[in-house]
Amino acid sequence: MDFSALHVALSGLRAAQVGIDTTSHNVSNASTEGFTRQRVDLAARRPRPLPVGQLGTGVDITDITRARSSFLDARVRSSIAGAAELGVRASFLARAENVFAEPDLGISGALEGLFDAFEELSLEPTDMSARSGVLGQLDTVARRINQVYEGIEVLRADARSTLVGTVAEVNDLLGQVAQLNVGILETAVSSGSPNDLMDKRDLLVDRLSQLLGVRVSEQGGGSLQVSLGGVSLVSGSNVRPLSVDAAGQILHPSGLVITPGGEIRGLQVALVTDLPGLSADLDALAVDLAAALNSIHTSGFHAGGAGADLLGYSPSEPAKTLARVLSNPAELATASTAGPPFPAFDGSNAGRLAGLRTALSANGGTASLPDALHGIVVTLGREVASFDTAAETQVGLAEAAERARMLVHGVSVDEEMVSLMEYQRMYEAAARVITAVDQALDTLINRTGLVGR
Amino acid sequence: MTNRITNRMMTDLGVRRMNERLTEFERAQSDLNTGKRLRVASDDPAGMSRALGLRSQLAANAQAKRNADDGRMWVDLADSRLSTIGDQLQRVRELLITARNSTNGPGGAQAVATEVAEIQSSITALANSRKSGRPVFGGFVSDDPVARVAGTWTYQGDAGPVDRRLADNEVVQVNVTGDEVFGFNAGQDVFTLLDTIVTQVTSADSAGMGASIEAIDAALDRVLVGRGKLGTVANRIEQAQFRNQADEISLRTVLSETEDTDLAAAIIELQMQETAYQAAQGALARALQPSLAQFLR
Repeated sequence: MDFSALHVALSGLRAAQVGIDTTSHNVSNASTEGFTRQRVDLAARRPRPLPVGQLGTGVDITDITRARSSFLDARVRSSIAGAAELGVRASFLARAENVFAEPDLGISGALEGLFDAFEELSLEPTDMSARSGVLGQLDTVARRINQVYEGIEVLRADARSTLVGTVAEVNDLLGQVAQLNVGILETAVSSGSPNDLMDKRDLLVDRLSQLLGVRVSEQGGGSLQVSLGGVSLVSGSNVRPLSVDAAGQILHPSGLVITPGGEIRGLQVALVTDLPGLSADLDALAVDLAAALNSIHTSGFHAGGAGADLLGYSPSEPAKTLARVLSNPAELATASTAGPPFPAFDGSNAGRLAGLRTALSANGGTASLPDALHGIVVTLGREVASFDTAAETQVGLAEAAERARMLVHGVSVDEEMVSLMEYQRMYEAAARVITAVDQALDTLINRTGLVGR
Repeated sequence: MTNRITNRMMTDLGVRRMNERLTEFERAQSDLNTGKRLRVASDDPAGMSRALGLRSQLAANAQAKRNADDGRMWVDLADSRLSTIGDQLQRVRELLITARNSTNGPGGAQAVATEVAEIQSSITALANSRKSGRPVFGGFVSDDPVARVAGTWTYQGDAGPVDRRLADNEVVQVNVTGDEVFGFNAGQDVFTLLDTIVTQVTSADSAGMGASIEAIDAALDRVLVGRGKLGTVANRIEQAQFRNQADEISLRTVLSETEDTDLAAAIIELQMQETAYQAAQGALARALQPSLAQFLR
């Protein structure tokens, strides 16, 4: 009898201890975001040849590995990028919809009020309160259009600052990934697989996918390359930070314009396409409104002569600067003819202004002014509704992918309890083996050769 | 692969499902609280398109109602003035017949002449009557429509039509001008005629008075034609008011169907969502309880 059995039992004790430690680590991190459950990989040691056969020499701990599937990671990442892009666009459009505040507090109510005021004026052209009523309603309409335009501008500024902030966050994340690449490379060389660092890095890549829709590929030695559209952003310890230019384009340090994915794509589209589209619609509405009102008003007459413009704006930003320019209520040109004698009670020109309620004077003569406005609001509503639905679908896909990944990666406390019992029993059994060997040796050393004493 | 169900997954999923239920619950509640099914266009873009159009039509309809009411006042005022003028012209005709056949002497003739002159000033006042400062028979001009200018009776108004929109494509003229009803445009205005009659009565010119009776008949006809026109307009306005009221009711009904919450359905929905929410809470509470750790000693 030699002492190898003690060493064999010792290897079992050690394996059981590491198993318990790992189980305890898993249970402790059951709620940690991005944590992957870890497993102790065991293998039987090289056996020792005996004349009669191969004698086992115990157990080796080969590695502690993560139960992680890169295929599932890729699925989660592509679906969260899509969900984030649509979600951001939907949220900006929904905020724009609130800015319009239709149907109760929006432009449409003010517009109806203006046409009512013109019609009242046509009934009583000499009534000063009807005249000042028209001026008041002109102010209301112009101010509502200004306010909605400014609301959209606030959203554009917000989209821009969020875009810049998000790109800064992305650059920070890229830097962290590069640092972890270095850490992982060093740890892997010196002492086995750096599971927790890799979890941390995977979590960063998840976030990067949500923000930017990046692609990742394994490089040698556990290092991870992050790229987008074939351009490398992180390679080993090398980081290429991105920047945003004035036009909202994403630039790589090499000067290439990058087409992003994820939230940044959604912000970019909101900033460059969606919100400017609404501003342009409002500008067109302001121009059509001013043109229609002014052309009828200048063709009419007040007691002192021909009518002047009612509304004015600066051509570079019509909706923002739209304002009433006629200040004297007596100069509202209610009459269609000049006289003499001046037809003071002729309200027919005011009637024609009120007729703009239904006249096709917007969108190049294809719609009435209220219809043009309703068109903007309803189109926006349709977009919000369709993006909401599409985003919901993507979120559903992302969640299904995340669930599939958690099935594999996540910690099940019940399972860990079973492992704990397994390792505990293994420890007890190995300890019992040591006791047995010890007793055998005791018999040999202390009780042998005492025959006849 | 065996389906591993992990603890994190169960809590995450459970919380998410509970939030979904809560969102639906909140939605059902605000449908009831606000009474509106349609708050922003994205709730139902097609419905919002309809609702905005209906609101626009309702506003136009309400304004058309005010126009019709105002038009009705014009017509009624002009008609009542013309009715009085007609009665007074009738009186002049009677006086003329009496004066032509009378042998009362200069005293009686003088009394008739005085009464005709008074009727003339009364008709002048009626012809110059105003509705809130605005001459009823003067078209668009603010001067008195009828005045003696340098000894000649003159119409100082114009032919301006006072138009009122009764519906989208229906505009009616609610005034008649002094030019036509008092005969200025025919060159036989009633005021000059009354001057002539006073002279004829005073001078007992019975041939002249005979001609004047015919002229008064013509003047009466013109007043009647004017009243006839106003009567037709009054009918149109009345019909438009009926239509307007019917339109308003149907527009409001459709708008309410488009925008408003169906209360019965919403209450049932609310109860269903409440039950679903409580069920989700209960399920999550139970799912979080058991763990193998409780059974290991």
